[in-house]
Amino acid sequence: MPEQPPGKRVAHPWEAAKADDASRAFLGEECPRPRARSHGPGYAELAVTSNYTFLSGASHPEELVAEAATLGHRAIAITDDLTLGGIVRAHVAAKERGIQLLVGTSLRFTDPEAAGMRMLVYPTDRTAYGRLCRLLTLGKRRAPKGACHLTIHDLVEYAEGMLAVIVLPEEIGSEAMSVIAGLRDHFGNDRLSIAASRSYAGDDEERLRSIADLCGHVRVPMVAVNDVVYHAPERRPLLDVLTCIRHSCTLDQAGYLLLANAERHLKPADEMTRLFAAYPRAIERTLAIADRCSGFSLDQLRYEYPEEVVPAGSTPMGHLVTLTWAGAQERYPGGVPPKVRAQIEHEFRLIDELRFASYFLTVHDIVVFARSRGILCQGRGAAANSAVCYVLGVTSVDPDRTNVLFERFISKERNEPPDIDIDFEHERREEVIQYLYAKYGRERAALTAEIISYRGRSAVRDVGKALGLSLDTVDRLAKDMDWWGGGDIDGESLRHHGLNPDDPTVGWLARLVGEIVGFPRHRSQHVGGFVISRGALSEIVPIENAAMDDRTVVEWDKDDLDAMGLLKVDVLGLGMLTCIRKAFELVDRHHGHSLSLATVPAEDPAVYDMLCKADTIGVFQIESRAQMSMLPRLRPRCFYDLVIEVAIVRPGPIQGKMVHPYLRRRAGEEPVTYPSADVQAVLGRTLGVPLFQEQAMSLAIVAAGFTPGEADQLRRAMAAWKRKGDLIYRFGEKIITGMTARGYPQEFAERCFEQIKGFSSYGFPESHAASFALLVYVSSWLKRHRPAAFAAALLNSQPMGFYAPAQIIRDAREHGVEVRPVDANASRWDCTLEPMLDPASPAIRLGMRLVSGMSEADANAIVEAIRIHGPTRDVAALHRASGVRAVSLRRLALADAFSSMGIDRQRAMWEVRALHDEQMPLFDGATRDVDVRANADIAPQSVGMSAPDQATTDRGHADQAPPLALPRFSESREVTHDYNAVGLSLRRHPLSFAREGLDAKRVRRASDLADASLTPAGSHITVAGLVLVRQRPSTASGIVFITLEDETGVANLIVRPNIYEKYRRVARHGTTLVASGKVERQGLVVHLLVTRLATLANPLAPVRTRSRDFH
Amino acid sequence: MAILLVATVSQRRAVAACCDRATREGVSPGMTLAHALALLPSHGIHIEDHDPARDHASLVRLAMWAHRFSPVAAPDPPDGLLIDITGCERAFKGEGRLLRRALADAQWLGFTARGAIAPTFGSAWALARFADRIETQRGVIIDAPRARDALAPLPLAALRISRETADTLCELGAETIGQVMGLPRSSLPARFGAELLHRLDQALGEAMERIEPVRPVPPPSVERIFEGATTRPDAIEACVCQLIDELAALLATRESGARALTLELGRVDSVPVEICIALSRPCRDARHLWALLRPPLERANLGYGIERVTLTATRIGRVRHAQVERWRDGGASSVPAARAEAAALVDLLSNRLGPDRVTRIEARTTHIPERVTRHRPAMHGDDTERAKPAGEDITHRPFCHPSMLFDRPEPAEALAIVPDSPPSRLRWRGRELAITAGQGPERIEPEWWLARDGNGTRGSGVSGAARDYYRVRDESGVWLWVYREVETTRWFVHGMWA
Repeated sequence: MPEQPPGKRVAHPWEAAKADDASRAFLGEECPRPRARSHGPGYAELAVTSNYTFLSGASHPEELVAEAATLGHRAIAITDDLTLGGIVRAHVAAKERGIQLLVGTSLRFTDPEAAGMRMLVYPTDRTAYGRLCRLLTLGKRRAPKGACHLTIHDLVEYAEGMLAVIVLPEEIGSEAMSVIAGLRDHFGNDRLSIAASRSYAGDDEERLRSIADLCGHVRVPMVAVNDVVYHAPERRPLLDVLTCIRHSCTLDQAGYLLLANAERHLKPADEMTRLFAAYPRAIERTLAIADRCSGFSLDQLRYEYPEEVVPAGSTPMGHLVTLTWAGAQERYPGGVPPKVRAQIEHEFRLIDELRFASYFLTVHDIVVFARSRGILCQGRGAAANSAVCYVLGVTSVDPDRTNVLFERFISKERNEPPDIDIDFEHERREEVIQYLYAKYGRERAALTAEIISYRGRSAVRDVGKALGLSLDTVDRLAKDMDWWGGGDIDGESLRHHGLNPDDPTVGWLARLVGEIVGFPRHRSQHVGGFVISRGALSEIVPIENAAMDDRTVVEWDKDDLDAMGLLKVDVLGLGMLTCIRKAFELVDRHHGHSLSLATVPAEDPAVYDMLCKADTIGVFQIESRAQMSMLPRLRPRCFYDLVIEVAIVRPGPIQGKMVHPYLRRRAGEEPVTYPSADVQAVLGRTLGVPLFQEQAMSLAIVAAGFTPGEADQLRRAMAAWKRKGDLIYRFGEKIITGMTARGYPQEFAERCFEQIKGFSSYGFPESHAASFALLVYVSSWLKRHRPAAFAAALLNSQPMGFYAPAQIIRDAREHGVEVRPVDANASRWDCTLEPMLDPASPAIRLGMRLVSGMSEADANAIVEAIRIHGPTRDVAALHRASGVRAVSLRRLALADAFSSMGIDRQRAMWEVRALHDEQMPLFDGATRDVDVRANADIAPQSVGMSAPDQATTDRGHADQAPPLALPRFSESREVTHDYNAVGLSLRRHPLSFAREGLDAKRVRRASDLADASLTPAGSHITVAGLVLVRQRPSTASGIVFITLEDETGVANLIVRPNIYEKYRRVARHGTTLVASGKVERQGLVVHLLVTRLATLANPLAPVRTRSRDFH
Repeated sequence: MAILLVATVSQRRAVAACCDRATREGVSPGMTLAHALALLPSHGIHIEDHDPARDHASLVRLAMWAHRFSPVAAPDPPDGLLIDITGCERAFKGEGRLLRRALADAQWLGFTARGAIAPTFGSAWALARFADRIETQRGVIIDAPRARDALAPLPLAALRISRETADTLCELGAETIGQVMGLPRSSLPARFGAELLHRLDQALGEAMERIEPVRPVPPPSVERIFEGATTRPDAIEACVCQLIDELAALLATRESGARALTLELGRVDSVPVEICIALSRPCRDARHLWALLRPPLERANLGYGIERVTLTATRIGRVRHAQVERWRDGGASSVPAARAEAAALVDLLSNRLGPDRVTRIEARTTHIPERVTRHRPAMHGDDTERAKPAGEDITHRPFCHPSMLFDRPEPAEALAIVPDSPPSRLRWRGRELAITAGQGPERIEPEWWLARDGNGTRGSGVSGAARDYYRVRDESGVWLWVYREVETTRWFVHGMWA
């Protein structure tokens, strides 16, 4: 079914701003100047709650900063509750708008005497900022996830260099007074202020007067704030809804939880001056505080790379050079080719200039660790595919085989670290993570945060509930909404759910959902992004506990870290690496052939022959329907074709309409032409059609005269295209004028731009494609030459990939691999290989891991018992000797795993029922007696398990039970049991039991589709089968792809949206379908364009339900 | 219209029961609601929360109803009745007639009923549910010699065994009761526990089965029959007083109190006079009951005389044990006592004036002054709506509001010189007022979600536009609550402090 779409995310201002600013400058425009400041002294808003105080603020930090700039405020602070989460976004936006940002946070204390009181604190220099981060980290680390426990005492300890503003509680008691006096003594009246605001509450004058009195009494100056919760009054409904979501109530129930009016927005300086006409000093105080904080900005965060990766006495660069040349010796025993040598030296220059040596060393260190543990890993990203990384062993893709633009990831213009993601075996990634924690410590290493934001579905659900719509309506709306399409609700789907689009509540729903989409809701952890620093990380950013034990997370997400230039290494898990490692091990054990990613024989024509036939079940990346139908058309013949294959079936190239021109050119149906030699150098590899992001950038450089830095901005603009449409068009003009000025035809320039635009945010960088293509090749090679080992490794790495064990095994058998059933005497937990007469083609013995409900510990206990006592012919003896739970033996009996003992499934199930674990509470006294007696009978007889001869006597004992009076299992029953217990059957395909009836109805076999004479293109036919895969790719505008399987093969269905709607119930939930439609042929690729769908009474109707559907 | 009853099971909404129509679309109990909704056409679905307690209560009522066929009838949750008809068939001229009558009557009540008569409860249970649908709707009767054969082809679920046991047997290939009967008895307990054998024996009549029949509980009632008709009010009153005492004693033994009473005066010449009263809370205080009964009794038409007086508590409710006060300490009465007195007053007034005419003012939490209270019938009890969430955030309490709020804000003209400050002069109800003091403004904006148009925050809606309220004092010392509509700058007087 549909992949999880990326949530609609509000563009980090960083992405846009960078592109914006620089590009504006280079496009010859002036940066926008803040509007003329108002007359009078001006004003700075110091108490601002953004939406990073989750569900409490109703504006993004960027909106607040932009509004303050528009109003001409001198400065603005962001003071979210106990967090600095939104501060980077605010910082970037403030730089863009040319307004001063006060970094701040709002503290609350657990001390009872400070109940209801808030403290806004603002660091005035870098060290004070470090202390604030440490203070927040302290409070967060000792509280459960999401909370922060601090006392006034903590604050006092860390307060040096901070300015503080007290926001008083509603009632000021004597305890609060003494707290204030204590704080005054500590901070002095010079660094402390007391906030006053006018919120139109009725008694503003009186309250202001009493605060003024208090200030006079404790000798602390008063400061004016508006305690802002949104940038503009229009956000009041949204804030009310957020309040309801926070308290899980409806608007009608919320009562006094809501504010009575919409006054807490950013107000112009003049208005604030008017409101505080009686207290002009309070307004001046805002400016004084802003001035004193102007000495600090987030730009001062100097990030430093960890140093322990460098041995004492050498510089990072020197060490990197040493390691690199040493690695080069290994990679190229016959001497480093001059091209590679030149490339390495070129890269050295850039790395040295940008001081990224430590970064490469850090990555290298992780890879070395993984290799020492035998964990397979592979780097990804252009920096990873550099010559340096290749010789360091970070990646196995020979830079000779690709042509990667190193500048894309390390550019001088962007002073940010390069991007290297490292994929590890998914089952062993945790080891790497724990290594990082152990090496750098919790103080210095933490995971990146991931901000979970509202998207269409969750937005509809929460807003609908707050508006008081019934739960079921909300659920249905949320479920049915086209949620990957963003937050828009159309009238049609509303009417469909019995709602009137003209009803005001529905109007509100639509409006508020639109507003709330993109709002952060909570903070989670990024899957594997690690931040590592030289000094304490907690002095750069607050760190909190993650939901998972033993994990700590920083408050910033990856965009924030990028913007701040912090080192981040993505430690990711990849199932295929697990599979490949396991396959390598099996190959090593059974074929005596030791392999690694780099030593798998390259460019084997037999492998490519297989790929051309789209025989790719189980192969990495190219096993999906779309990929399989592309393979026979693309006909890959070399490694680079695989890189293209991986990249071409992607939304970017598909939407940019590059697929067909490329295929036509490849098939020789269209001449391959280049407007110039420069362009040929860039696009030559892809026959003149840009397929990768790097090519778009190179094209801009060679044909339109961009500098590499400008090209990088173009990439950012492409990424932000959907959100900032105008920017890419301005680049478009620049590209087109640049190209035409260099003598390229207008038409070519426009086409190039269209294609570049098509990448939007879904383009696939060539460097990633190259890393993936290597895994594609390696897995294909294994499938072609070691099919048994490959299939066993796939089964042992489940769940992964597109296909279930049943299809993997079916595919293996079709490739001539013998597959043997699960057997208690022969199987291990994992699937294993068993030697055959021909040692080159071993058989697969299915492992007990396939048996549903089986535990690994019990499986191992059985394997151990068999190893010690030898094969057995008695279930009860196995039970005693292995000590496994009876329930595990029942699972094995259901899976027919005792047939090697001469016990068929039915008999085994019957015998196993009588086994009981001694500790197991029994139904009542009577049976327990029986059971204990039974055990007492057997126990002295044999403690260990029988050798076969002893087993025979045991069998004799068991045979005394009267023969079963139950009917023998039919064959279809056996298959049903196979499917229930193991998820597949080695006997017959379930559909074969229905074949007679299907033949009568003239239903075709799936294999008929391969034969054009039986099913010519355009003919109407009917097929039937089990549903293997249902897919609804976001690029296919609602088309659903369904794959059916019968006993002869698979049939690929295309279901258009109108048909899907018509047969919704069947199409969505049916497990066995009968589909009629028109045959479409395109070379080897055959589809059925469905016109009618129906369910077929499942020949495998599970036994369980058969007994239920009686009445 | 498809009807679904829905229960929440571990945070998932699942179908607990559904109507035939939904069943035809493929819905079945146990399915998640989302799945069921996907199966049904998207309109014409009625969803309600499943209330097992109500289900059970009505099943018990149905068992009471079944007393017309036999005195021994028991509810068999979730959806059956067990009736022991031994000996009762004669009253209906045969078992067949009895069964047909029972099914027809149940049909008439609106139930889809299926029934069977068999030698054991177990076999009747099995047959009624699992024998042929049409036949069981007409009624199936099996006698003892045929019971075994009749049970044999039925599925295992008909044995009333746990789902797990049934599934296990199914996996083994046993699908019918007959196949299980064929298995060696001694091998069963070790494999399937004692339950299977027990249920099998019950169905075959080899083990006893008892049911717990429901007994009708008549409402507490007391009666006096006079030796001859009387029209003397004092005699009748004295009698009613005695009956009240007796009823109170009877209620005390049941730890309950009356929520409704019916006093029936049996007249010699005509239909009885019925006097009904209702109470807002369960009560067995004789003085209070008498205070309620007395006025209608005084008005009652005694005709040619009363020969019988019956007092019945038609609805009762539980009364929690309360400490009885032996000595009144005269002074401060306790809160429960005060509440009881208020309830007594409500009863008195409601029974005299009519239940809808006595209302209670209920507080609501809202910033809009005119929506702060609402009236509800007092007899419904005082379940005052409270702001659900309580805690740190309820700080946005409204500022001091006047003791008297006008039903309608009264237009006024005002002179205000400085923005955001109280008016200096006010013309209201034809008088010129000089304002000598004032406080404010308190800005209250409408509850936007009730507004008719779906886009403006400050647009006019049901609750009007944003208002700035001021508390002002005129020269005579009267405090008024005035407001200005922010948009129109029109002034109104909305209340005063008395």
